[in-house]
Amino acid sequence: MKRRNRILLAGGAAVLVLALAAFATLASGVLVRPTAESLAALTAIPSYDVLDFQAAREQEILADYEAAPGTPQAPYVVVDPYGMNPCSALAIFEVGGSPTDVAVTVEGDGPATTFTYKVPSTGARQEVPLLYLYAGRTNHVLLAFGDGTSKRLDVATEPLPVDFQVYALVASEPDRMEPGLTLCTACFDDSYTALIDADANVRGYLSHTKMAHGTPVISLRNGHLLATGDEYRQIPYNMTSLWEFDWLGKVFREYEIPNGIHHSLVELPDGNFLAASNAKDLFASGTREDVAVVVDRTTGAVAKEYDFRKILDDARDPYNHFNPGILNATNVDWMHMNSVLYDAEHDWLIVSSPIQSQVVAIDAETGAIQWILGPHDGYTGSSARLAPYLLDPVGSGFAWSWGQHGIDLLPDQDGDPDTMDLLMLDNGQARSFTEAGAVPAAQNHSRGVQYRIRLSTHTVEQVWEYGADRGSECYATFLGDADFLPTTGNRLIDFGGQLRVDGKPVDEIIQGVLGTVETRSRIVEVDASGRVVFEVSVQGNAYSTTAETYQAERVAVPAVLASEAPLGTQHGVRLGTASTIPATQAVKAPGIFAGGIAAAFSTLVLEHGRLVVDGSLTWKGRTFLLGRAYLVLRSGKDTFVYPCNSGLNGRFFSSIDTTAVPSGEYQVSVIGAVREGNDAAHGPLHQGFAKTEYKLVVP
Amino acid sequence: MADRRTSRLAPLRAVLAAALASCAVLASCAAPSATPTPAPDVRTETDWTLTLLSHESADDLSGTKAAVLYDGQKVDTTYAQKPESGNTFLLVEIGVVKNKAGAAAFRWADVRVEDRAGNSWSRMANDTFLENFNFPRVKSTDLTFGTNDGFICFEIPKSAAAGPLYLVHETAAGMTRLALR
Repeated sequence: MKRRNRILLAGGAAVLVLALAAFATLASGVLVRPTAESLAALTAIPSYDVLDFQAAREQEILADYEAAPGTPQAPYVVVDPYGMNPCSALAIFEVGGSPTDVAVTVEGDGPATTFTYKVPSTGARQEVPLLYLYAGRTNHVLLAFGDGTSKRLDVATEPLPVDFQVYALVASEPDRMEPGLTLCTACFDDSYTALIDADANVRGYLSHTKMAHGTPVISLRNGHLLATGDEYRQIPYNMTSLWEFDWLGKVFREYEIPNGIHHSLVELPDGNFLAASNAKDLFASGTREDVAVVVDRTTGAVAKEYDFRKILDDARDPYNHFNPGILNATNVDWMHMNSVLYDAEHDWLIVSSPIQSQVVAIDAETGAIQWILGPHDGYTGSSARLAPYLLDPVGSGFAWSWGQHGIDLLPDQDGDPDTMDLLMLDNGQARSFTEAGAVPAAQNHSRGVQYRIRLSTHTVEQVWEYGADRGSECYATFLGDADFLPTTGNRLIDFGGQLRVDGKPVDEIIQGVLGTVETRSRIVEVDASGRVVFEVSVQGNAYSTTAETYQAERVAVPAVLASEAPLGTQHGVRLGTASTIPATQAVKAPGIFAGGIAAAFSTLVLEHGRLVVDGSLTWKGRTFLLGRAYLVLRSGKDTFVYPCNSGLNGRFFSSIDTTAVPSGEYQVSVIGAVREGNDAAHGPLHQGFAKTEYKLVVP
Repeated sequence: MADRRTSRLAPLRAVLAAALASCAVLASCAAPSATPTPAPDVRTETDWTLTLLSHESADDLSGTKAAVLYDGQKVDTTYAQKPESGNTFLLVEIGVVKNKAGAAAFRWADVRVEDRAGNSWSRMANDTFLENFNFPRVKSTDLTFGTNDGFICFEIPKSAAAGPLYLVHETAAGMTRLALR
C-alpha cells in the first residue's frame, strides 16, 4: 500500500506539474499566437473602398476606350459600368468639334413603357447613360444627334437573378396612371430595390442588395439619388452611411453618419438631409430608432439631433407586433421612428411612431410638441402629459390608424390655411393597444387614409381612404407607404409587408424578417374615386420568401439628365467621420482555440485603415438567435480584442480603426458566445474561440 | 475500499484527462496536408487570354438557409436548381482577361462546350442561380475589358458528361479548344 501511495503521489505531482505547465502555456497564449509560418498561410484582408473601386473602374473603361474610340455611328458601349445596375449602360463616342446634346429613346413594349430623355453635351467626347433597359433582353435604344442623324443600338443585359422578387401585374391603365416608373425599395438585404414600368417589368435595379434597403431612395434636386450605403450599424436596416449616386451606379458622395440611418430620409430646403436615426452611441443608449438627425450636406456632420426620448414618453409600452419577444434586450425599440418629414410652412417636423400609433408634429427649432395624431387610449401615468396634444376626431366614418407607415404631407387640398392634409398607410396592426383587444390578422385590413387636421380647433377629420373594402387581401402587418401623386391626383398605396402562411395573413414580423414566414407586398395606384389604375402583386419564389416593398414611389423620367463630369475626372468624396469601436481590456483572448464556435464573414475589408466587419456566428454548425462576438487581432507579440455589435441570428458587426494598431501581421480570430432561447441574459450559453482564415496586414 | 480509492484518484484522473484533452486539442490544431491542384490550362488568343481553372458536373444543386425563431426553434429553408430530366449541370470555372485595350468584346455566343462527336451546347441563358450556391459567376453579357473570373454553367445530357468534353471559343480570328479533363 505504501509503495502504491508513493507511486500515486509521484504520479499526482507529475500530473500537477503538467497541469500547471499547461495552464502557464495557455496563459502565455503560445497555443494561439501566430508564427511567421502560420501567418503566411492566412489570407490577407483585402482593401476595398467603393469610391476607389469606381475610380479604378473608370480608368479601366477609359484605357480600353481610348485604344479604339467610338463614333456616333459606332459607340463604345459598356453595360453596367459600375456593377450596380445591370439594367444600365454607358455609350461613349467622339464628336470632335461638334458637341451635341443627345436625345435617347429606350424602346419599350408600348408607348407607356418607352422612355425618352436628353443627355447634355459633355464636350468633344460624349458620354450617354442608357437607362431603363429591360433585364435579360436585347434592348433597342435610339440615339438622336443634333445634326439630325441618329443611331439605333442593340444593348443586351443580364437576366434577373433567380432570387429576384416576382412582380405580377394585376391591373394597368397607363392613360390614367401618374407618368413615370415605380421605385420599389426593399426593406431587407435579400430582396432587391427595383424600378418597374407600367407593365410591371423591371427597368432598373440595384444588384448590391446591402445598399438602399429599409430606407427610401430619394431623388435630390441635383438629379442624383440618395440612399443608405452598404455597411450595417445594426440589422436589419440601420446603416452607417448615405450614398449619393445615379442610376448608372456612380457614387458621388458618401456621408458617414455615426448614429446610423434607417426608415426615412428627406432633402431639406437648404440642401441638408433630415433622417430617422438613433442616439450616437446606439448600443449604450438602451433604446433605438428614436432620434431624428439633420446632416450637414457640405461636411457630412450631424448638425442637429431631435431626441424623442425627451419629447415623447419612452416608458409607454403599448401592445404591438413589432416586439421581438427577446427578454432583457439591450436596445428597446419603443418608438421605431419610420417617417420624418419637414413642414416648411410651419417649420415643423412631422414624425411617425408605428409602435405608439402616433404621428407627432414638433417645432423644428424648439422641439415643442404641436399635436399628436393617434388613438387616445392609454395616456396615463408618465404619458398623461402628452394627452393635451392629442387631436380630437370629428366627422363621419372616422377611424384611427394603427402601426402606420409612409406619412405624406400633401399640397394644399382645400385652400384653407388652417388645415393640413396627411396621407399614410394605416397598416392596422392589432388595431388595439392591448393583446386582448387585438384584431386577428385574418380579420384585419390595411388602407391608405387621408386625414385633414384643423389647427385652430385641434381636430382631425378623415377625408379619404382606400383598402378597407379589400379586407385581409391587402392586410400588411408592417412596412408600406402612401403617396399623393401631383400630376393626376392619384394615390399610390404600398401594402408593404404582407406576412402569409399558406396564403393566410399572420402577424409574425420577426419570422418574416428572418425569412421563415413568407412576406409579400401589393402596390396599388388608385384615382381619387378609388378606381384602381395600376396594381402589382409582389411575390417570392423558390429561392426567397421575402418580397416586401418597404416603400413605393412614382418617379418621373427626367426630361434632361443631370450634367455630370466625364469619366475619370471625378473621384467620389467621403464626408463625415465613420464611427469605430475601440479595443477593450475587459475581455481577454483565450489561450486555446476551442468551443465549437465558428465565424464566417460576408464583409471583411479594409477601407483606408478602417476594418469593416460583417460576420455571423455558429456553434457546432447551428445558428442561434442571440449571440455576442469579439474580434481578436493577434501578432507575434500584441493582442487586441474588439467588441462587435450583435444582431439577431448570429450576425455581428464591427468597425475598427487599424491605424492605431502597430505595424505587423495579425491573425484574425473570433471569441463568440451564443445563447439558447430568447433571453439575452439567461439560458444555456455556448462559448468558444475560433480561428479564421484571415490576417490583417498593418503597414 | 474500492469506492474510497476511486474517490481519491478522481481529482488526479480529472487533471490527467484535462492534460490529455489539451494534447488532443493540440493535435487537432495541426495543419491539414495540402491537396495538390492541377495547373490551370491557359490559352492566349490575340485579344483575350482564357484560363480554365476547374470544372465539375452536378445533377442538381441544393442549398439551405438556416434561421432561428425567437422561441429558439430552428427552421431550415431549402432551395434547389434541377436540370431537365436526363441532363446535368456542367459548371466551368474560367478566367477571361483582355490582352489589349481596344480589342473586340468577348461574346458568350462564341463559347460552347462540345463532345468528340461534335455535339455542342451553349452557356445557359440564365445561370444566375450559381451565385445562390456560392459559385461566383461571370456575367453573361459581352465582356469588354478587364479580368473576369468565375463560373459559367452549361446544361448537357448526362451521357455527354461521361465522355471527353471541350470548352471552345471560336471567332472569326480563330478557335481555342480547352479539354475539360
